[in-house]
Amino acid sequence: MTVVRRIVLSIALVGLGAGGGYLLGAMGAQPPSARVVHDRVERVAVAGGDHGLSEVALRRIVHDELAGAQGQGGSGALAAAPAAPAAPPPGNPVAFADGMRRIDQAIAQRRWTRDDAAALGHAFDTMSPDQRAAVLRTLIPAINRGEIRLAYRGDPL
Amino acid sequence: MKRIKLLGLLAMMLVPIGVVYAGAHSSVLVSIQLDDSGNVIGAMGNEADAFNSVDSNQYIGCGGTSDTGFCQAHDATADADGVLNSAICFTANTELLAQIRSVAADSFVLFTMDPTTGECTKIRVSHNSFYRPKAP
Repeated sequence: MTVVRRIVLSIALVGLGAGGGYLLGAMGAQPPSARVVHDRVERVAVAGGDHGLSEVALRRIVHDELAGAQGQGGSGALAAAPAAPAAPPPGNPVAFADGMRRIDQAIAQRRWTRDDAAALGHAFDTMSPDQRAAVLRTLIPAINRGEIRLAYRGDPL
Repeated sequence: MKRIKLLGLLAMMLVPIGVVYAGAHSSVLVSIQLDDSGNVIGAMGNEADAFNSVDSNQYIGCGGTSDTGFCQAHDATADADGVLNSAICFTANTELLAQIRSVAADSFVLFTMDPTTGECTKIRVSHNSFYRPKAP
C-alpha cells in the first residue's frame, strides 16, 4: 500500500510539474538566462557587502537596473521623464566673441559705424538666438546711455 | 459771357483742391522718453513728420530680420556728450515683430523698452488720415 501511494504521489508530482511547465510556456515565460542568473549572483554579492566586486560588474548592474526601470515604465525619474527636446544650437563662439569685441571697441571709441553694423549683422547669421540677444543686451543699452553714438543715419544692425 | 463760363469752370476745378486739404491734421515730432533716473525708456513720433522736419537730426522707425527686430528714434537735438537724444530697442518677440512689420512710411510709432537690457516692451503703430505724408 505504501509503495502504491508513493507511485501515485510521484505520478501526481510529475503531472503537476508538466502542467506547470506547460502553463508557463503558454504564458510566454522565458527561462532565466545565464546572464540574469549571473547578475542575480552579483547582486546578492553586493547586498552581502562583497567589496571585491569589480568596477565592470558594478557598471553592468547599474546599467541593467536603469534599463529595467525604463523598460518597465517604472516610476523612477528616468523612466517618467518625457523625451528631452533637442538642445538649442550652441551657436558660433567665434562669431559671438567677434561681436562682443567689436562692441568693446565701439564703447572705447564712443561710436558705431556702418562697418560695425554690417559686420555685426554678418556675425548674427551664424549666432544662436541666445548669443544674438546677449550681444544686443550689451550694445543697445550702451547706445541708449549715450556711451556709443551712431556715426551715420541708418539701421543700427 | 464766354469769359464768365470759363471762370466758372475754373472755379469748379479749384473746389476739389480745397476739399483735399481739409480735415484734421496732426503733427508728432520725435521725442525721447526718460524715467525719473534719467534712463532712456522709449520714444515716439510720426515718421513723415520726422522726415519733413526742418532739422536734419530727427528720425524714427523700425526694421530687422525675420527673427530679430528693432525700433530706433532720434529727436531734433544735435549729438553732444551727456545729451540723451536717441533710443533703440530690440526684440525677438513674435507679437512685437508683427507690429514692426506693420510700420509704414508715414506711421506714428511709439516704443518702450527695458533700460537695463534694451529689449522692447511695447511697440505701438498707428496709421491715420490726420498724419501727413512725407513731402518730396
